[in-house]
Amino acid sequence: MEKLLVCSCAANDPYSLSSAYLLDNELDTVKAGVKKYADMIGASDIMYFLVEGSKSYGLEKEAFGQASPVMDNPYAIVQQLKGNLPRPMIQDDYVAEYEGKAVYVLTPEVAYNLAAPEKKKFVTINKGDKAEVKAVPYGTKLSEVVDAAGAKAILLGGLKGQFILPAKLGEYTTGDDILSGSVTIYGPEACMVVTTADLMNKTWMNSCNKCVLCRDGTYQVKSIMDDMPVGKSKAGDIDLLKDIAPLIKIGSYCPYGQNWPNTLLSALELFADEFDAHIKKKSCPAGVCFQAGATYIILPDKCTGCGDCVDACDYTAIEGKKKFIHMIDQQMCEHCGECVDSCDEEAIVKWEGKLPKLPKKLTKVGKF
Amino acid sequence: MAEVKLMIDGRQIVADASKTVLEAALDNGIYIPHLCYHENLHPNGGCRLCVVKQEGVDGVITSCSTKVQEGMVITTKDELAEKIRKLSCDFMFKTHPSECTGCPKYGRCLLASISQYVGDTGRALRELKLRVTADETNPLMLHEMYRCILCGRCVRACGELRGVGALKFAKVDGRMRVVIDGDSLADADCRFCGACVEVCPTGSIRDKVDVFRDDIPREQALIPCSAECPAHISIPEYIRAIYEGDYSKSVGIIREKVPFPHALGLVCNNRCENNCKHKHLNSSLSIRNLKRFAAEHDEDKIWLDNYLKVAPRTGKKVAVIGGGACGLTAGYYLNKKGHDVTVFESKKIPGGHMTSGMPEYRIPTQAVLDEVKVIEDSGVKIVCNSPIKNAAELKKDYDAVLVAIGTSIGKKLGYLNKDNLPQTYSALELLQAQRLNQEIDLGQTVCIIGGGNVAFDAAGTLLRMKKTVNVVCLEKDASQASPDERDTALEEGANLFDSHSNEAIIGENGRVTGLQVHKINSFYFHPETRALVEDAIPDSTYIIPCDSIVFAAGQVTGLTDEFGLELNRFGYPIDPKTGKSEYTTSVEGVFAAGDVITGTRFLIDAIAGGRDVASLMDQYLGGDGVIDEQLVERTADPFIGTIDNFASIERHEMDIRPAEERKEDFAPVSTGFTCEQGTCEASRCLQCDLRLQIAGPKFWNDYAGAEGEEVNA
Repeated sequence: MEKLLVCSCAANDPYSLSSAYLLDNELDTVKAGVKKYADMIGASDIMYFLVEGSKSYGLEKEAFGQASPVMDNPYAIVQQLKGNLPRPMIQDDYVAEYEGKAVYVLTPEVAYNLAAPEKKKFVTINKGDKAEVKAVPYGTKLSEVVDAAGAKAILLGGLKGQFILPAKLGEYTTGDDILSGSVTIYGPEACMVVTTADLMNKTWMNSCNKCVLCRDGTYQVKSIMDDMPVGKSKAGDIDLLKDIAPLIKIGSYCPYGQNWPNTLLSALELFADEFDAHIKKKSCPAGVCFQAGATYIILPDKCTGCGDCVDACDYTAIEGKKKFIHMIDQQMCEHCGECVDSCDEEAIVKWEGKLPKLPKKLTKVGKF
Repeated sequence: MAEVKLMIDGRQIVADASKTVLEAALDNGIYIPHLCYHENLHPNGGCRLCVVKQEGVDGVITSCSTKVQEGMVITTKDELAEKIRKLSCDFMFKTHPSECTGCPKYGRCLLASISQYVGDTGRALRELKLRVTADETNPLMLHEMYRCILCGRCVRACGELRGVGALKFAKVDGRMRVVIDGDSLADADCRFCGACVEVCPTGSIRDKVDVFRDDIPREQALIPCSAECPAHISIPEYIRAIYEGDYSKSVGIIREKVPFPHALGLVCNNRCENNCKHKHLNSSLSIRNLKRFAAEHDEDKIWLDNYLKVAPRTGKKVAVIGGGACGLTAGYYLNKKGHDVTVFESKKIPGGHMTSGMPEYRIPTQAVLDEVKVIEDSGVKIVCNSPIKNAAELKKDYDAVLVAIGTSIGKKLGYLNKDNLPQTYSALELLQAQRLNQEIDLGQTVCIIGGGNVAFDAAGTLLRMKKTVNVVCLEKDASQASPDERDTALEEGANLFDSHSNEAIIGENGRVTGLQVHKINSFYFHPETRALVEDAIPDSTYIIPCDSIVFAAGQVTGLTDEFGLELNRFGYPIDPKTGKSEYTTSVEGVFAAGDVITGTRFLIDAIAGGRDVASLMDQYLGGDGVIDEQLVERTADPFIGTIDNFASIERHEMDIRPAEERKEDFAPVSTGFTCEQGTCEASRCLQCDLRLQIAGPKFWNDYAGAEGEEVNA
């Protein structure tokens, strides 16, 4: 069967910009590398798979589609070329076929390193809103690439990587591995619970959804994480995450599912105290969560059960009936503050820090 | 391919090197839970239930997508693998409705079965209710995707197995979902083959209620046309052969069940079309007309050599009384089974109703004789002009006798003909006279009494004999007849006197001169006495002038006790053991089949009866009774691909010759499908039989070595 070599420029996760960088800055070298690899494997055809919305690079054959961490898998590419969702296939003797040709894949970075005189890693450095790519020779310590002074945490390798403490940065060097692909720096202002929840949401969004463990694992993990910054966590949630994440890691179908649990597990291990504080004390050491009017409560000793606040709430977030202490459903509260003004008793207040004891079910005024 | 040896759960297994670990285990009765794997589909690896431990490999391996290798040591009940399976089950049940008993798939659900085997951990995971409603808008298939656990079997079956791709994955609200690749299944060029239903392990994609009968075995019910056919002709297979342009193969497939493809193609009452799944899209396949098309385009007769092959002679002699469809069919199969068969036919040519009881223009004599010739060529002896007076007497000279004389005597209502005028005939007498070139004194104007199909057969025949035809019947609009046959005759010029009741046949000088009738508003037959009760219009009596009368008022066997068999009061042979008309009679070794035991039915019923009785008689004569045969090779490619706007291709009707032209001769009313019409009509077939190629669901307790109880304990 004839072979089609696809240079996939869509396999980066949201933390890495290496493919776009190489196309913009090292196109000739990349093309040379792709050509070299095509000759090596005897491919008759070459195609460049670009991320939808990116510009054309005037390459002989260009296809466009969505970026996905599984787009380094030939079958995932074939699926997209046929108009389907990208999903990988890993099987003995399996050949991904497109238009009668066996599909082979390489990334721009691999192509570059095939053709360039010196092997380089194209490290994406993310700090706040800023992202830059540095071309660094293989074997360079990451501490020489990135200045992590004053940082609180570092995420190496993006969605498929892991969290480390800044002091450990020197232990990692650039190379073929996932970890040195991107370095994301979190300053002291970052709440690691929020950071991890955001990361897990991105992990969920980027799952190809092919296998149960990754599809539903990412959903479960992001849902459990979403509960933490808003005080809805349950006591066993950390244990639950530590129970399922290692099994997902071992049992998932492809490298994406086998790697993303590392980010979660490393965060849980390195920042255990922060997670604990959120769940047990409903407090945020970084001062990000449960803050800035995040929580409105009705003081049980002041509420007269008049119902004025129920009428004032546009989000039906207040539950109560006449002569019963009213309660704000924190999941539904949109923090507009209308109820505060509606209460003549000044029973509704903005609350910061650990919440006082509040009724969990309808309780008669004076009986709490 | 080479074989490899491996160990699975401490057992030495020898497996073909092309097998996967999962296949090797299942083949040897070692059950590994699996959900997205299906033996007819490419492995997917998505459900993570088939993970097993391989010695020397970290973690687990996916057994459905890992090939066996020499020396592998596999543990299926590894602790880690089982933990992963449980987690996968946990996850799936957080999206799948937890209440099983309300699900139509309850008891046949693969997911439920697997979760029973794998067990539950009770983890406090988050529920995710899939916000998707049931979709009942498509014909035949029902989508309730809130039950979907995304195994992807349907998408693979539709894409890989069928080459259709009407179903695909899409991400909706961040989660993958199986969706239709278009506004509707029809819009997605779905072929409505049902493969998706067949492979769905849950109740997500199902056949709509009432598409298939549930009173017969499933493998029969899935092919409604064949199930409805009394002879169970493999209809989708012969239609497929037509589509492929292999008309001879098509006829071969038909002939595996019936010796009269052409005759059936012309006059069968096509009950096969009643439940054709295509009627849920627009209308049923034109199955009968396709059969005619195949029969009339079969030039190569590739089935003939096999058809004429007969078993070694048994030395047993069989007499068949009646050379109609039933007798000839039974004769063919009995001869095939090695018995010497002689068919005694009372008329001058064989064929029964086919050659003398229906109009020539519906079923040409030559077409029937050609098919009878094949039966003769196979070794059946047919003796014409040989009425048999007594079946019991005949039995003395034969090892077995079959009575298949049909109902060949037309009823005449004697009370209308008090003067015993001679120009009164039954429809059968008329048809027989016309077809066998016998004299019949009709005069110019004929009144036909009766309003069923036979009345209009008589009308069409008389019109072609250049007679003036009046059809007189009780029913408003002759509603007993099929509208097509009624309208065909009316177009050709028959006069209809509907809502008319007959009083008497009027005559003068020994000749019929008219039919005295009156008009009625309505009528019914008394439920107990069967007597006619009518609401007559007062003073409406008048005489329709005519020269002869034809009765189309039903048929009887005409048998009397002289025939040597015990009869019921209507003249039908009975088996005294049950008191009913059956294949067996009062004389051992004398059998009966066809209209003579069922009353007047259709051609296909006579043929089916002939098959059944042949099998029974073969057993009586010491044979195994197996009359099934394969005459032609066939392959059914499951990869059917798409056809543009498949669901909206309209049913083809044969072109009918104009009334002015066709009433001038006895040639068929239609010349049949053109090749283009035939091929296109055949392309509409939903190929329901392809579904039987797909392996049905197998549960863990279906595997010999499955030890679920131990795992759960």
